[in-house]
Amino acid sequence: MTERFQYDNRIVKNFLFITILWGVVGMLVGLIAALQLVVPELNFSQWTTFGRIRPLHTNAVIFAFVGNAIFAGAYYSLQRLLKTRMFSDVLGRIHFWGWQAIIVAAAITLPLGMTQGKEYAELEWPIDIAIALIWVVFGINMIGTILKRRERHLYVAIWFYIATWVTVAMLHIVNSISIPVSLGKSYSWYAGVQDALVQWWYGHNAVAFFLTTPFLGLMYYFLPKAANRPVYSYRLSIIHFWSLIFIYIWAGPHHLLYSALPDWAQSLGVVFSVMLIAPSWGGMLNGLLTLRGAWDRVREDPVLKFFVVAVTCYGMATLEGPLLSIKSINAIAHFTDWIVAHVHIGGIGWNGFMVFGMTYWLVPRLFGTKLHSVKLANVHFWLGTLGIIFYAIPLYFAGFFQSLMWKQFTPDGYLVYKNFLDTLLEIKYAYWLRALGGSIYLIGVFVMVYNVYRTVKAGRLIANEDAEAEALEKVKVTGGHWHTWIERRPIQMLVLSLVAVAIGGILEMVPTFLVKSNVPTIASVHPYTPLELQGRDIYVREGCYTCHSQMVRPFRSETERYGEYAKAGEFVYDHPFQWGSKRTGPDLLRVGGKYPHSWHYYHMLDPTTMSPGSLMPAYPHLFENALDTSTTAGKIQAMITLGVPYAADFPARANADLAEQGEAVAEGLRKDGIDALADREIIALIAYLQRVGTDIKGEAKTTTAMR
Amino acid sequence: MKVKELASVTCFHCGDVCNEDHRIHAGKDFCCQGCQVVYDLLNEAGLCDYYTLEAEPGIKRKENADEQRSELFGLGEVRDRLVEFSEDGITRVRFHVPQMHCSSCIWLLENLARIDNAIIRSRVSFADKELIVTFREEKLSLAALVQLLRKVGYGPQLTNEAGKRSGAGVPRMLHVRLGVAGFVFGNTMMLSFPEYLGADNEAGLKEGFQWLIVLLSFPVVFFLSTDFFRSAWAGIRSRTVNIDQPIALGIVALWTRSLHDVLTGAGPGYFDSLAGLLFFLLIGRWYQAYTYRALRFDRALEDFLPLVVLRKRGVEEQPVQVADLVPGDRIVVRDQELVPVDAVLRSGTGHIDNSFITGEPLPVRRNVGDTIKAGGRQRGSAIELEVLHSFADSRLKKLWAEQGSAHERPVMPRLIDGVARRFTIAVLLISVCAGLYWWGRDAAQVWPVVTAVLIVACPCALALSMPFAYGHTMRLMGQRGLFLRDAEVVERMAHVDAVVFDKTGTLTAREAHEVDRSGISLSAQECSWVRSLARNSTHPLSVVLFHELKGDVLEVSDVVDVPGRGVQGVVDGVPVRLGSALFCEGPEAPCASGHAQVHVWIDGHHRGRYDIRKHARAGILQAVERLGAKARVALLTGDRQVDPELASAFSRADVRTSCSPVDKTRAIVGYQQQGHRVLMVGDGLNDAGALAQSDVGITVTETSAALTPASDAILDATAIARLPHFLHMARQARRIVIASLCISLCYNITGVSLAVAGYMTPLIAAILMPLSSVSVVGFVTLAVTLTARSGRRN
Amino acid sequence: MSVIFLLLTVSTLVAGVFLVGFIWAVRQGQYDDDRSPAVRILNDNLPSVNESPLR
Repeated sequence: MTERFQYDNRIVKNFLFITILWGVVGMLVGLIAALQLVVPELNFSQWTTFGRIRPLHTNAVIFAFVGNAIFAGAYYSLQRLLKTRMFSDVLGRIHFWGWQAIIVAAAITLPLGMTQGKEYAELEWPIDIAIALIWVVFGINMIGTILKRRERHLYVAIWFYIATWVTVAMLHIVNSISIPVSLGKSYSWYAGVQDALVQWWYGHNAVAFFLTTPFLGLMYYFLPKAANRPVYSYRLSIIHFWSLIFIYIWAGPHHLLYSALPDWAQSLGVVFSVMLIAPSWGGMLNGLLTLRGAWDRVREDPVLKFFVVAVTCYGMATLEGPLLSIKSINAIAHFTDWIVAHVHIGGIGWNGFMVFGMTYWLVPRLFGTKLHSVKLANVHFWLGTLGIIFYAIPLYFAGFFQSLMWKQFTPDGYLVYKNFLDTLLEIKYAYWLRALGGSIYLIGVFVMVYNVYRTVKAGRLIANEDAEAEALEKVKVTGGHWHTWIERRPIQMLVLSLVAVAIGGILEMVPTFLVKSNVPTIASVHPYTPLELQGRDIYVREGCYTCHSQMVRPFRSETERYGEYAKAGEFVYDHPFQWGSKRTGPDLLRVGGKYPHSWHYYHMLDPTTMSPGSLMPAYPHLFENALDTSTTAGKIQAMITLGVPYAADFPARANADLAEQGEAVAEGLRKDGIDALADREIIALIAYLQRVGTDIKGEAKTTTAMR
Repeated sequence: MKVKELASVTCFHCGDVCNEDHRIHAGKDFCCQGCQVVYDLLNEAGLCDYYTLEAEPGIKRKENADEQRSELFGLGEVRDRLVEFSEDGITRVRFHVPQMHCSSCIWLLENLARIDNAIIRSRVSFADKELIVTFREEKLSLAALVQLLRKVGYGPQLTNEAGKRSGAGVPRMLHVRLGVAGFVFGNTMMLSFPEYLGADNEAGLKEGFQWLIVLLSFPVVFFLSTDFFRSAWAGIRSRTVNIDQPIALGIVALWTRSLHDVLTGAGPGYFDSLAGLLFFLLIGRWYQAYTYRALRFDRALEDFLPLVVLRKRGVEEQPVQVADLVPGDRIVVRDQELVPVDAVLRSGTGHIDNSFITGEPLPVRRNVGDTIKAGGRQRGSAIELEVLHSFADSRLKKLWAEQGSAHERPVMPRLIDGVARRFTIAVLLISVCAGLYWWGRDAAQVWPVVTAVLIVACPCALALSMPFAYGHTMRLMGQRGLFLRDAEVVERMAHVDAVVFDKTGTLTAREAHEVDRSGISLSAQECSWVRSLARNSTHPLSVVLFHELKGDVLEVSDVVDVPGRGVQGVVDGVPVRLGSALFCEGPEAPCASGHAQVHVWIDGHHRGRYDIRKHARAGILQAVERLGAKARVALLTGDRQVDPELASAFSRADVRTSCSPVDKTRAIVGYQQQGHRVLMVGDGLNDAGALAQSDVGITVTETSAALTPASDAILDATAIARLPHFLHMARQARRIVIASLCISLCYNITGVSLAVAGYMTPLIAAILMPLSSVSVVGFVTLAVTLTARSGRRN
Repeated sequence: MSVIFLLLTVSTLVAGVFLVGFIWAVRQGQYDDDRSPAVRILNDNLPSVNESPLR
C-alpha cells in the first residue's frame, strides 16, 4: 500500500530556466521601449517602432516570463502536494515545447505588425488557437495528476491553479473570437463598445487570473516551505480563495470609467473592485503573518526577503487598484503613467520578486546543492528593490502632474497647456528615471542569472526525485446528512437551477446578440470606405493605440482640448475598438479634419517638423510600401459578415472605390505641393485619420461636459 | 539555584516554569527529566523543527487520570476497537489524542516515522484530535507504539468513541448552505445593479437579469431555508411559538410577493433582500455551530475506568473485561489503577485515593477485609481484591447511570422565545390592521402592503443577536477557562442568584498544601535528607513534602518502599524513614479530617511529624466575597468540619458539613423551592446528583479529562477565582441581547411604518435588511468583547 | 450591450462550475480539518528518513 515513485524535476527545471531566459528578453525589450519614449531615434526600423515593441514587451513578460514561472511552480508543487508524479511526462513535454513555440511565434509576428489590436490579446488567430490547444494540454496534465493523487486533501494552492486554468481558458476563448481575413489578419467579432467591454473584462481578468491567482497559489506553497512553517491561517486562505473567485470576474468594467459604457456597468465595476480589497488583503496578511516569529530568518534568507517584498507589493497594488477604480481618482489617473507605475508594482514587484524567490529556493533543491552565493542573492534583492522604487515613484509623480496639466485652465477659461506635447516634455525626466530604474532591476536579474549558473555548475540535476506515499483507497462519502433524500434533493434542485440559469442566459443572448439592430446607432454614422478601412488596419498594425486614445471623456478639459466627447453609437463599425488605455500622445478621436492632409503627410514622415520636440517615431516605411489592395474585398466581405451594412456587391467594387478615394487624397496633397503616389500606405492612413470621429459632426452639437 | 531566577526560566520543551528539578541540557533549560528525554528523542531523530514551528509546544509528562496501561492496547477487544485493518504484518490504528493542540503537535505526530522506522506513516485529523498510524506490527507491537506516543507526550486515550468521525465539527451541510447563500447573494446583488441605478432596459437587459434572479431564488427557498421551515413547523405542531416562525413567515412572504411582482410586471421584487437575509441568518447558524466545536461533552464513564482488569485464577493472572467480572472473582489492582467494582481487600494494603469520587486526594488506608468502593485508585504496591458486585450494579455504575436524566433541567423560559411570541403576534396584528385600513382606501394596495409588512418585520437581526451574543460569550469564557456545554447555559447563568459550592477538591487545590512543621524541627541538612528520600516515593504525601521542603537533592541508596507504611532509604550513609507513626516508631497523634501526618525517623529516632493540610485555592476567598454581594452563597461538604479559613469566607453563607450525595441534592431542591436559581460548583461523581438538580452545574477539573456528564460546564480549576466575572459576563450577555433586540426592533418599526404607509421599495428593503443584521451583529460582538475585557482588571 | 449576456452567461457558467466545485469539496470533507493540511505540506515525504532541507 505504501508506494514508491519519483517526482519529475526535469520538466520543472526546463520551465524554470526558460522563465529566466524569457524574463531577461522581455525586460530587455521593455527597457528598449522605455528608452524609445525619450530617444525617438531608437525606433530605428519599421519592425521596431514603439507601437510594435510595446506589445512584444507585454506579451513577453506576461505570457513568457510569468507564464513559464507559473508552470514551473505548478509542476513542482502539484507533484509534491498530491504526492504523485505528473500525470504524463509526454504531455508535459508537449506543453513545454508548445508554449515556447507560441512565444517564438509571438516574437516574430508582433514586430511584423500582425496584431489584433487588443491589449494583452494582440496575437493573431492562428497563435490564439495554438494557445488554446496547449492550455488544454496543461489542463489535462493537471487534472490527470489530481485524479491519480495520493493525498486526499487538495491544498489551497491547487484550487488557485484550477481556478486559473478554468478562467483563463474561458477568457481567452471569449475574447479571441474573431473572423479571419488572412493568416496574419483578423477582425474582432465584437464592435466598439461591446468589443471594449469584452476586451477589458478579459484584460482585467487576465491580470486577475494569470498574474494573481496562480501566484497566490505559488505563495501559499513556496512561502510556507521557505519559512518552514505552516501558513498563518489555513482557514483564512480557504475563505480568501472562494471570495476572490466569486468577486474578481465582475471587476472588469472599471477600466472603462467615463467611457461610452453604460453607467450602471461602470458602477458595477467600481463596486466589485472596491469589494476586492477585503479578500486581497486577507491573502496578503495571511502571507506576511506566516512569518510572524521568524523575522530573524527573513533577515538572513534572501528567498524570504523576496517573498516579503513581493507580498507587500501585492498588498499595495491590490489597495491601489480599487482606489483607482473610484471614479474621481480614475478621472485623474486614467490614461496617464500612474497606471503604468501601478501595473509595474504588480509586475516587477509581486510577480517578479515571487519568481526570483522561487528560483533561489528551487535551483539548489533541483540540483542537490547549496546556493552558490547568498551574498549575490542579497545584492540582487537590493538592486531589484531599488529598481522598483526608481521605476515607480517618478511615474507616479509624472502621471499625477501631467494629468493636472491636462486639466489646468487659465482664469479666463482657456487651457494652460494648449499643446499636448508641452505636458509630455514636462515629464520627460520621469521617463529617463524610469528607464534607469528598469536597467537597475535588469542588472539585478543578470546577477541572478550568474548566481544560478554557478549553482547549477556546482550540482547535478536530480531529474527524478524518489518519494513514497500511501496509496489512496476509495473514499466512502461520510457525513450522514448526505444520505437522506430530503437533503439531497435541494442539491439536485440547485444544480438544475444553475443549468437553467446558463440555458436561460444563452437563450436570452443568442437572438439579441446576432441581431445587430439592437445596437443603438447614430443616424449619421456610416461604415468606413475601403481606403479608410485599409488605413485603419495600418493604424492598428502600427500599434498607434499604445500611445493615442480614441476616447474623449466628458470633462470640460477634454472637450475643450479634443472636441465633442465620445458616444457609444460612434463605434459600431470599429472592429476592433481602438479606445486605447494610455496617452503618451494626444487623443485622436476628433483628429479627423483637424489638419490638412499635408500636415499628416509631413508629420508621419518626421513628426518633429510639425511639432518640434515630438517624441513620436517617424514612419518612413509608410511612404515606401505600396498598399496591399489584394485583401480589400476579403476585408469588406468579413465586415459584411459582422453585420456592417455594405451592399452585397460592394466587395467587388471595393478596390475601384479605394483607388478613386486614394487619388482624391493624393490630389489634395498635390495642391500643397506634395507629389505623393496614390497607392502608398500613407494615403490610406491619412484617409482614415481624416475620417476618425467626423460622422458625429453631422449631429447637432451637444457639448454637455461634466466639468 | 535561587528560586527567584528559576521563576524566570521556562522549559524549552513544555514552557512550564522550571522549579527545583530544573536542569540545563544541550544549552537549553528543561523543567524535568521527562522533557529532557523527549528533547533528546526528537533531537536525534532530526525533528527539532518541532520547536521552531511554535514556541515551547511540548506536553509535560504527568500520569494522567485517564491514561490506560499500555498493555491494554495489546488486548483483543481493545485492539479491535482501534485497528482499522491489519494485513500481512502491516497494521493501521486510529487513536484519540486530545493533547494535540498546535502546529508543532501535528508536525511531530505526522513525522513519527522518523523516530521509529517500524512506523510507516502517521496522519493527524486535527478537527477530531485523532491520529492514524500505519506500522509494521512484527517490528513494533501496538503496546510499544502506545509507549512511544506516551514517551513523546501524546499518550492516546482509549475512548469509546475512538473511530467515531467528527462529531463536534460544523456540519458540512451548513458549509454547503453558507457557500450557496454567499454565491446566490452576490450574484443576485450584481444582477440587481441595473435596477438600483435605474438603468434603462436597453437590449432587454433588465428583463434578462430579472429572470436570472428569479431562477437564483429557487435554491434560496428550497434549499437554504429548509431548516427554518422545519423548526417553524415543529413549533406549530407542538403549539409553541419560536423565533423561526416569523422568519419562515417572512421568507415565504418575501418570495411569493417577489414572484408575484415579477410575474405581474409590477416590479423587480425583493429577491436580493431574500438572498441577503438567508446569507446573514446562515452566518449566524455557522457561528453558533463553530463555537460549540471546541467542546466534546459526550464522554463515557468507561474512559475513567480500566476497561480490563487482571483476574486471578489460581496462580495465573489474565486480563478480562470489567463487564465480565462476577461476584467472587479475584482481581489484582496495581499502583495507580482504579478499582473498577466494589470489592473486598483480600491481600496487600490498600492506599485508596478516592479523588475520583470525592475529590479527596489524600489516600485512606485500607486493611485486609475492608470494602473498597469502585472508583478508588490504588497507590502503592499491587493489591488483591474479591469482587462484591458485578460492574453493572457497582455504585460507580449506578452513580453514572443516574446521569442519564441529568440533562433534564428545571425548565426556564428562553428569553428569545418570549420575545418571539409577542413579536409574531404583534406583526400579524399590524399586517391585519394595515390590510384592513388599505381595504377601505385602496383595495389594490392591500396585498402589497401586507406582504411588505411581513417582509420588513422579518426578525433577521432578532434571530442573529442571540447566537452571536451567547456564542461569543461562550467562546470568550472558554478562553478564560470555563467551557459551557451550549450557549443556552449562558442564559441560565444569567438568572443565577444562588451559588452552592462543594468543598472537597473544589475549593481546595490538589497541589497546594500547607505543611505544618510545628510537630518537628530538623536541621537544613536533615531537611534535605528527608526531601531526597521523599523524591524516591510516588506516594502523594511524599510528593507534597518534596515540593514543600527546601534543600538540594542528594543520592539515596537502598530505598525500600514498605507498602502502606512508608519509605526507607540511606542518605549520606544515614538511614531515614518517612511514613506512619507506627513505621517511624512514634506516638499516634489525633488527626483531624482533611489532615494527614507524615512521621520522620532518622537514624533510629522518631524526629516528629509533618501535619499536612489541604489549602484553599488561590483567590477563592475574594471570589466568594464578591459572589456574596450578588447572590446567596452556600457550602455543602461531605467532610465532618470545614477548614477555618474557608469557614471565615463562608461566615455569612450557610455551611452544611458531612452531607451525603443525597443530602446535597436535597439541599439544592430546597433552595430552588425558595425560588432560587442555583448554580452548583462541584467535582467528582458523588455530587453529580446535585449538579444535575441545580439550574447550572459546573464541574471543576484539573485535567480536562475528568468531565461528568451531569454538568453544564467545566471550569478549569485555576480559573475558579474568576467565577464572579463569569457570572457577570453571563448577566451582561443577556442585557446585550435585550439591547440588540431593541436596536433591531427600531429597524423593524421604521420598516413597518414605511411599509404600512406603502413606501417600501425594493431598494429600501435591500438596504434595511443587511444594515440591521450587520449593525446588530457588530454591536453584539463588540459589547460582549468589551465586557469580557472589563474582567481583566478585577 | 447585448454582449453583456455573453459575458454574463459565460461568467455565471464558470461561477457555477466553481460553486459545484465548492460543494464537492465540502461534501468530500476537504474542509473538515482546516489545520493539518497546512502543516502537512512541510513534509515532502521522501523515503530517506532524515532528509534535512538546506537553508
